Parts: sequence; C-alpha cells; structure tokens
Amino acid sequence: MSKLPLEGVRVLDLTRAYAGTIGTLYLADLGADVIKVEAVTRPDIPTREMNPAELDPGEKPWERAAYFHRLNVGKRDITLDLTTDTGKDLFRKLVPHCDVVTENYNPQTMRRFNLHYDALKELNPSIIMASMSGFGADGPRKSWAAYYPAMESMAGLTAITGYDEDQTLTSLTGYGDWTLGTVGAMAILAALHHRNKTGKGQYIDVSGREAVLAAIGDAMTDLSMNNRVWKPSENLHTSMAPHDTYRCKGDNSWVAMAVRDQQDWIAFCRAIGSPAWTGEAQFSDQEKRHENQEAMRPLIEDWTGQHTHREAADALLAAGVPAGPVLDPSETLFDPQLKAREYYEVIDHPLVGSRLFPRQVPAHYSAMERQPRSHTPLLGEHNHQVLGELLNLDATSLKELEDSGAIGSEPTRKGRRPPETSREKMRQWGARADDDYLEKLSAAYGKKIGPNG
Amino acid sequence: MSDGALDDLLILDLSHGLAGAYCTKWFADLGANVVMVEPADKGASIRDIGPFKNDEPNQETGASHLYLNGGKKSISLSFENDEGKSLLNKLIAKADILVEDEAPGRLGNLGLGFEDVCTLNDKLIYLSITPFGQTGPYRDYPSTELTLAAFSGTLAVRAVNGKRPIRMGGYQGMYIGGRIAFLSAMGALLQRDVTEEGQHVDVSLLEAIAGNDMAAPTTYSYTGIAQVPLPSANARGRGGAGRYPCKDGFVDVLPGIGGLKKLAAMLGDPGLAEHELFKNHALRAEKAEEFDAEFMEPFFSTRTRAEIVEAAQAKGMPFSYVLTPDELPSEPHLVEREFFVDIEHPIAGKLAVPGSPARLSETPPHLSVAPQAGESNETVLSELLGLTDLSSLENQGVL
Repeated sequence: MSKLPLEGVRVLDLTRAYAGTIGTLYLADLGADVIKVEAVTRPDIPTREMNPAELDPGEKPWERAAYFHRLNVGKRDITLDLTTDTGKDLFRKLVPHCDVVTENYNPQTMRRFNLHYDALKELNPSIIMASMSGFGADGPRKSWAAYYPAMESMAGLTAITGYDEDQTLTSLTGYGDWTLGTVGAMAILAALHHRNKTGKGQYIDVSGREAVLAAIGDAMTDLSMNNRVWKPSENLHTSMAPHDTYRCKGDNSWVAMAVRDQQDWIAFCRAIGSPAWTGEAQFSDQEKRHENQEAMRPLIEDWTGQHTHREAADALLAAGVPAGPVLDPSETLFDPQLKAREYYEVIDHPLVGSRLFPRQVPAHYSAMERQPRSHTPLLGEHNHQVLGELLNLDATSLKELEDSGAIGSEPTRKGRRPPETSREKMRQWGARADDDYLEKLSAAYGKKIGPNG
Repeated sequence: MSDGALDDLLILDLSHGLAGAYCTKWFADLGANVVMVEPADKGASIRDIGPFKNDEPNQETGASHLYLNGGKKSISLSFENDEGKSLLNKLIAKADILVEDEAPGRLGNLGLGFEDVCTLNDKLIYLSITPFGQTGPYRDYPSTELTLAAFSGTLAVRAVNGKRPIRMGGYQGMYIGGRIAFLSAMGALLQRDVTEEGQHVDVSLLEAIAGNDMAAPTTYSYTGIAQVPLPSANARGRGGAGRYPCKDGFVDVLPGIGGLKKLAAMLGDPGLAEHELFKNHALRAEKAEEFDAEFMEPFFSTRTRAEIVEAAQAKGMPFSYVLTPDELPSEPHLVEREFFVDIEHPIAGKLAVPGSPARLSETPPHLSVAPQAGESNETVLSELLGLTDLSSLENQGVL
C-alpha cells in the first residue's frame, strides 16, 4: 500500500469562510500539507464560531465550532497578518517552499497585498496559484461579493429549482460554495499533473457562478438548440412517473421514489398492495401517469402515510423500484451503507473531543490505504513548527514575533458572540434536536463521542 | 502553450450515465484523448436522454449528450463477444484511465473487471462509478438521482412551509458525482506520476452527494441539532432581508455585516440609519410591513434587478438576483469573460454551450463538438492499434 497521492505537496492556503476552504479540504484529504494562514487580527470568523460543541462557546469560542472544524480538518494553521510588512515578508519567504497558493479574496485583494500571481512567480517560478471567487478575476462584476445563493441564482440554477416561478429555491445546502471549492481543487490537481510533466506552474481563476453554470449545461444546450427556457419543475422527471417525494408517517417525514418504466410500475403496484386505483385507465401507461401525476399524489400518500420513510423505501427497494427515505443530515450518520463503507471518520480534537467527519474524497482506492486525518488545527497551532522548519527561525526569533503580536494563538479581534441558542429553542423553530446525541453516536460508532475526560 | 494540462492521457470511457460523462468531459476539456466505447447496436444510453433537437428523438441530438460528450471520440464496439473483448483489451493495454459505471460485478462477469485487466496494463487506473459503491448492503439497490439525493441527507432541507422537499434543477447529483469521480481519478493519477502504478478507484455517487452537506452531520455530532430550519433566503422579503419584488423580477436582499447603515445609504438617505426602525432589530421585525412599505417598496418598485444589485454591491452588500437561463448568454460579465463557447454540430447545428469554469493560464481548456456514434472507429483503431482494414470486424457486428 502506498502513501497518499499528494504527500510532499505543500499548499499555502489563504482561503477563508466557505468555498475556498472546501477546495483545500479535498487537497488535505488527498494527503497534501495544507498550511492555513489566518491572522490574529483577522481569524477565520464567523465560521470559527458557528455551532460550538454542546452549544457552549466556552473560554475559547473560536476553537469549538462545528462549521470551522468540518471545513478545515487535516490542515495545519499559522497566523500571519498580510496587512503588515512582517506578515508579508514571512509569507514571501514561505512561497518558495510551497507548490500551491490558494485564496478566495475579492480579486483586488491579492494585488493590493502585492501578492498576485506575477509577484509570487518571481519568488517561485513553478508555483501554482488558484483564485476562487464568486464572479472570477476579471470582468465588470469581478468585485461583486457573492455568497452561495448569488452563485446559484446568477447561474440560472435557482430559476430552474423550486415549486413554481413564484417560489424558486436556492440549494439551502451551500451548493454554490461546494461547487466552487470542488472545481478549484479539480483545476489544481490538473495543474499539478501538468507541472509533473513540464515543471511549469500556472495561474488558475475559478468563478463559483461559472462552476454552477457549467452544471446546467443540459438546460443551456436546450436553450441554444430549441430556444426553450427551463422552469422550476418541482421533482418532475422528463419521462419517469411517479417521480417525487411523498409524505410518510411521522413529523416532516418523506420518501422519494421513481418509477422508471412499466416494469417498475407493476412492481410498485404489487409493493403497495395493488389498491384498486392502480388499475384506473388514467394511470395505465407511463405517458398517462406522467400527465396525471398530481392525481396520484393523495393515492400514493394513502400508502406512504401508513409507513415510516424507511419502511416505505425498503418495501419499494425490495420490489426493485428506486426509492430512498428523505434522510435528515443526522440520520446519515446512522445509515448502514455509509457505516459499512466508513464514510464518516471519528476524529479526536484536543478541545472538543471525538466528533464525526465525512471523508471529503470518499473514493475507495485499491492501492492506497485510508489514513487517519489530523484534528482541525487550533489558531496558530503550527506557527513554531512551520516557521521553524521551513524558515529556520529559532526560538528567540519566534518569541520576538509572538511578543510583537505578529503571530499568536488568540484572536485580538473577537467575533461578535453568536446568539445564544439551545436545543429547546431550535425545536420551537421546527428543527429536530436530540438531547442524547452523544450517547446515540457513541453506541453507533463503538467509541466515546463527545468531550474527553 | 500545450494542448492541455492532461494532453498526455488516453481515457477509455465505457460509461453510460451523466456522472461518467461529466467526469470524462473534464478530461476532454483539459486535453486528454477521451474515447467513448459504445455498444455497436444501441450506443451509450446517455444518447437516449432528451430533450432532443425539435423534440424528435435522435441519438445524436440529446442535449445532455451534446454538452457532456463534447471533445470526445466515439467507437462503437460490442465487447460481449470474444473478438470485441480482445479488441477492447488491446485498447486497455494502451490506456491511462478506464471509466465505467456498470452495476457492481457486471464487467467482472465479462472478464473485464479490474482484476482481469490490470494484468494487461499495470499502470491502468480503473475508475468505477456506481450509485452506492462496489461494497455495502445497498450496492445492488436500484436508484435515480432523486432517490440518491434522498439518502444523502441534502434533499431534506430544500422545502418551505411544510411542503415536500424539492431536488435541485437539472441533474446536480450526477454533476457532483462527475466532479468527485474526476477528482478521485486525479488522485490516483498524481500518485501514479510518482509510483508508476495503477489501481482501482471505487466512487459512490451517494457519498459524493452527501459530501456537499453544509456541515450538517458534523454539526449534529457537536450540538444534537439534526436539521437547521430554513434560512430566510427563499422567503419573501420582510423587514429588509429576503426576496423583494422590483421592476423586472426579484432581488435577494442580504444587507450583510453592518448592513442597515449601508442599506440606508443605498436607499438614498444615510440619515435613515438613525431612524428607530433601522436601529432596532426587534422593532423592525415587529413592524416589518410598515418598514417595507415606507422604505423598501418605493426604491425597489422603480428600479430593475441589475440597478438595485449594482447599487448594493457598490456599498459592499452582497445582493444578487435570479437570472433565468435565457438571460445568461447576454449577461455583460459572462460576455466579457467569453464564457459561452460556440460549437457547430453537423446535425444539431450551431450551439452556444457553457465553457469550462477552470481557467488555467498556461493550459486553457478547449471545448469541442460531440462525436456521432462510431464516427472515430477508423481513426482510433488505426492510430492506437494500427488496424487499417475494419471490414471483417464490421461484418461480424463487432464494430
């Protein structure tokens, strides 16, 4: 069994918040040494304070957040303030030791720091630099700020997602950010292969909005070819019917199913006990069912409503019909398939203990063994290690940097404390919240999940 | 300049679905020689997905095929008989990556599983893309993009007002799968750059989709909160946040950090920031209708989406608006960045398709037209295997 593919690849990572940190998360999962650069004057807040363990901000609220931990696991962390000469100088000295520099600032920012690609190339001719932004490095709207809804809505995805034209939906899962970060990582891997062949680095410009737009290529091709504009189409499919989510027994519980063809339909009817309505002429073939799908909903819900989402899906799957319980995110932690493939990894963090993290590159490789990932780094945790090893700074110089406030492990600018919340309050707002989550997870994973000690 | 970052690679694409096609599109756009290996009698099944040109079913004009298979070659080769299989094996011996999305075990039953073909080419990366992966209790379950989304935990939150959950438009689950498949194969390739060894890469679409998770499962292990209630982004605007109607559509209003002061300035009167409805969040929530009628509506109802968002962005507020697909090709920023690429297909005609979102300065991606079924039989087999007379293979129904 070999080592991980990116072992020996070092990434100097200026990304913050969401999209960019996702990009380097893939690289860390593949074995790269990702050195996250924060500043004590400007740590990666707010993600560093969102959803703290046990909803308790504790004494170091910036070290307890589920969000930040999820997005930065397996990386190292140093603090450098790029708005100061010392910070810039140290950063410049690190560049020759690195293979990739990543950032997701507004496109003007790296230029303002004088750390744009042309400047970095002077320091390291084979450097690969990747910029991940909402709208890209040039063009009239390059400086527009974009969170994930903007990347989706301005890419046409929101317009084709939802119940109808008056109620379109964004992903609500950060899809624009995931897409931007993933495409950033893909481009970096391609550039690394090119560098392996030629020794040459390059500059990569990825726009999140374009990354999403490339994923509705079917709609854009239909527009170009047939002048048809796709609309929000609920869960309708071009040929399959029924093809939707149906209400199950219990609170806010749903099952998804898809009847692909007549054979599936026969199996579906049998699985739900062949009620009389399934013999009606209006549902007799795929075309008619497609047309009369709405009429089927209450009839199908007569059956699904008597079952939990799991029971309904299991009955359909056993009959050979594609189906799936609409799991809420927490239920995936207990799902037999994901458990069997060890999709979630238990990682122990010095301040919050053992928690669960998905494998960001979930593939199973025949010639690479999965490695345990290191815990999400504390702010500045690797200042000494990185600056000592790479720049040969001795203890005295490191102490001077610390004393002057150039590096450190505590934010000088605290974030605004996230509003106090509680599981009780979340339940009132309609969320499901379990008080016994640590017990449930510990039982499922066969080890103690939760704070150490 | 080279022909692309991946121009040294030969990819054999045996896949039928959208995820495999999007994965190999990435290789093609980045310069690899991607050869679709399609069943001689019926073609890859992606060709059967509509819509088609003029809505007339035609294996050459499906929108998904035209977009996702651009820049690839196609050979029609049935490998369920000995001649076809032997020909495929010769191609595998030369390939860098084989991509397949058959049900687990199916190619193994034909003697074409990873274990069978790795002896022909020890550098081969064999990428398998399946709904649930090659192992585990669900591996043989039937599925579609919708049912995978359900299992992934990412569908549940996309619902409003107690209505049923709705999938994202298009085929996002399959596009996510294609991205993760590409990325996973690149991991194996970069390792091979060092070790010179190939391997089997087993990608599960379910796991790929689950990975786009808004941190929710991890958050549960920190807080016990299973599902975060719907953020306001999709709700009708109230009290200065959410989706507001304007002259030509809707604007998503998101004042962001320090926002109400900026909002006041944008509305044309910075002094409004001192108004109690701007300063007092609780009061504004209580009197949202009054706030909207007095401050938001007069400004919004007289301006276009672009005007409002332009003004907001100039003040540092990340407003955005919903563009419909037909508005994209002429959107000024995309035009200036030359994002759309014109291609000309012999049957479908002139098409403008989205370009590659990965802009690599030294090895820019290059898009091209999708192949007709079997159109590359002669070139591929002569270039790669030195075969010149294909007539006997054609007569046997292999090609």
